[in-house]
Amino acid sequence: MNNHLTSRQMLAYLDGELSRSETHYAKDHLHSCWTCRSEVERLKADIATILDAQNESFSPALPPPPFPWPSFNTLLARNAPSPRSPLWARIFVQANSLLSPMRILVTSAAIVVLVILAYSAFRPRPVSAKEVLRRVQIADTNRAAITKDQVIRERVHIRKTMRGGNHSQSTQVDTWKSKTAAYWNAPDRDSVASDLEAEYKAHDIPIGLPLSAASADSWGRVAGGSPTVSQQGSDIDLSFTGSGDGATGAVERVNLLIQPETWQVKQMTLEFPDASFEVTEDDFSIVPVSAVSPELLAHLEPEAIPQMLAHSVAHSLPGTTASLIHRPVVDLDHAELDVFATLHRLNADLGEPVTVIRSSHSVQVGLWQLPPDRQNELRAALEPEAGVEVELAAPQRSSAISRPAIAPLITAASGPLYIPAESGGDDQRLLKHFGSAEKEQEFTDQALATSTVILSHLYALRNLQGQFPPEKEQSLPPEERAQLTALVRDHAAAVATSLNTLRAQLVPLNTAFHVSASKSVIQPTAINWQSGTLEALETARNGDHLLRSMLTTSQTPTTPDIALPQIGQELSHLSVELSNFNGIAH
Amino acid sequence: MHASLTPAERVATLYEAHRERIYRFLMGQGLEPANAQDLVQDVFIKLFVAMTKGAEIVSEQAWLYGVASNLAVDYWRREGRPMWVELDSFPAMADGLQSKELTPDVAAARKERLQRIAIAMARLPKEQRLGVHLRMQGLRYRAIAKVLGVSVSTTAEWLSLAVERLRSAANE
Repeated sequence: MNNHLTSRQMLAYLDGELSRSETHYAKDHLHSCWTCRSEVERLKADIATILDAQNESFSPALPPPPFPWPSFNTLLARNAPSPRSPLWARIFVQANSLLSPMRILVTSAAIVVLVILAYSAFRPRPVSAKEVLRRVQIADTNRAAITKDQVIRERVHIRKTMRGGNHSQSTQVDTWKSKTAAYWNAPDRDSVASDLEAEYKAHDIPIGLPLSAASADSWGRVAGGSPTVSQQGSDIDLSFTGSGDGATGAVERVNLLIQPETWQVKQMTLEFPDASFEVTEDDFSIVPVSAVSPELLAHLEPEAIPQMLAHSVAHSLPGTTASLIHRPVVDLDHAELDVFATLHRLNADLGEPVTVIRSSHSVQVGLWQLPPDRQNELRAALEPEAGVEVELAAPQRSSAISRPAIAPLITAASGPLYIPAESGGDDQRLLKHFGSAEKEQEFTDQALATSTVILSHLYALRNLQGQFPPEKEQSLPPEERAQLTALVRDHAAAVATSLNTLRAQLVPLNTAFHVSASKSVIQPTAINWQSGTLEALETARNGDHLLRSMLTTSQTPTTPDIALPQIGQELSHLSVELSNFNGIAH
Repeated sequence: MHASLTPAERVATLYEAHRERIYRFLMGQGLEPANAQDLVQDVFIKLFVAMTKGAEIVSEQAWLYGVASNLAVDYWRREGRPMWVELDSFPAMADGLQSKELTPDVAAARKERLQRIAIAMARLPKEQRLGVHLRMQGLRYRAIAKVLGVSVSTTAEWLSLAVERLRSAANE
């Protein structure tokens, strides 16, 4: 009676998933073992509670759909081939083989009406200010997620303009934020930054990152009134107009310029009775605390200073003073690079959910989301490396909202704000071109797969640039720099290969829709591979979004003759950006 | 069973009845709201296409959740990042619960317990969470394994790990 059933056997037994012999054994055992029988009863009761939790707590706490549901007929009108097309007629007849000619006539008339309704439904329509703010909040949550061993640096440009004149002053300020505090590291006697900081204090707005969702939301609340949304170029303009009660120093207007691709606030303008401040973001990075000077840390994490001094590494960021040098026994730069090289060797840096976080004393690799076999494979390769800690269980978090361990610098594209009037209902031309839905699906799968490969390698490069910013790369010993360069080249070469593949895949479509080859209007610029990566990723994401808008059912469907030239343009840009930073990596 | 309905009529009925549930199912896999809503529409269009091609669909609901799961897995692969579930505020206690023969203390303790499980559910590794959600929809281990692209044995292991985590949260 010592061989009790495992929890896995008990669950499989209740689920009827044991083999015949295993079931026989489990039944026999349960007849004779009070302990296991009681445990099975508890498991049954707990499963019922889990179901209650799913229905009463988990599902109701998920955010509701952002848009009203279109009717299914509208969906069909948007996706089904045109009634005039012979192919449509074929599908229509197949789908309605039992219908009488009269009903076909009536249904056809209904579809024409629906197409008209669908057209009117997809004319440009603004998203509400509330929805914009919600998306900004989500994007900010992803972008600004840090661990206790990381801080955020947002470098902003501030321009102050006095009312009634052309006089303006500008400055650049590094604003910092840790998990517990924030600090603006303004140059001495910088009146512009001080004046803006004073406005924050005067309006009881906590000092934080100026271009964050929290800051935008706070200023919006201070201004009051109903926010309005409009489109400004490719950006979204969200404006709060103050109540106009004439109070001294009251903010009169708050303007937020938001990028719809990333839902990040790129510019904030605060208008006061005597002056206005325009704040734009120059740079945003997540920095390990080990790279921040003790003086700065004193503002961000006062209680952590004694511990940090003992572990600080000699890589200061520009604008910060050098920290005290007590190199740890293990060279973490080397360990970190080895981790990336190992992950690359095992193809684990192309989208698998592996997290790499550098703390003050080790490089922590999170493998908890992988299947056991893959966990074991990566664990065996990584654990022997000095200074590397492998985590097989998710870290405990105190908040109900969990966040990724490494925040993406660019969040998932959520689609443009305005739905173009020309969109939708043109699938029949693609279907006609391919000759059958199967062939169209096959092409879609292949093109999207290639685009996904491009994105995978660019995300891998994005992770590398996050861990090895230019200052840190410069400080690496030659051998390690060469190792990093090899990794960068490898990914860049893979992107270039897939880019050529995607272009070749699109040639027949371009020919069919009379789209000529596009040349990039951008010129290669001498930027480092780190910045080049972010640009290339942004471009690839745009291309991927267009591709999906054209080939799949999307909230923002696009016709081939609109999408193909834009895709061609994005791919040309990507090619230029790739040659650009690829050359620098040499 | 539904011989009198055309595929369009049948799918329209299913769309009205199940779109919210499929949306919440996809949201439960860590998708963003706009993406989840897009994919729900894809799922029903795919069902319509499959029906018009005469595909044999034994259980429409199982088919819908299976396709939704595949689209969620595709989305994970494209995004290439951990998929955490963001929960809004928990709902107030339902009237139905209040009317049961539960003292306020017992009802509050039950609510707290369910919320602990919900938070633990949001924190599960995405494959385990999807596995549990598919099991809740009545899918067998083999079908879940097919969606997750792993063996039946790994699926059993993941489900057991997930259930144990949720039980731990329930009994904290």
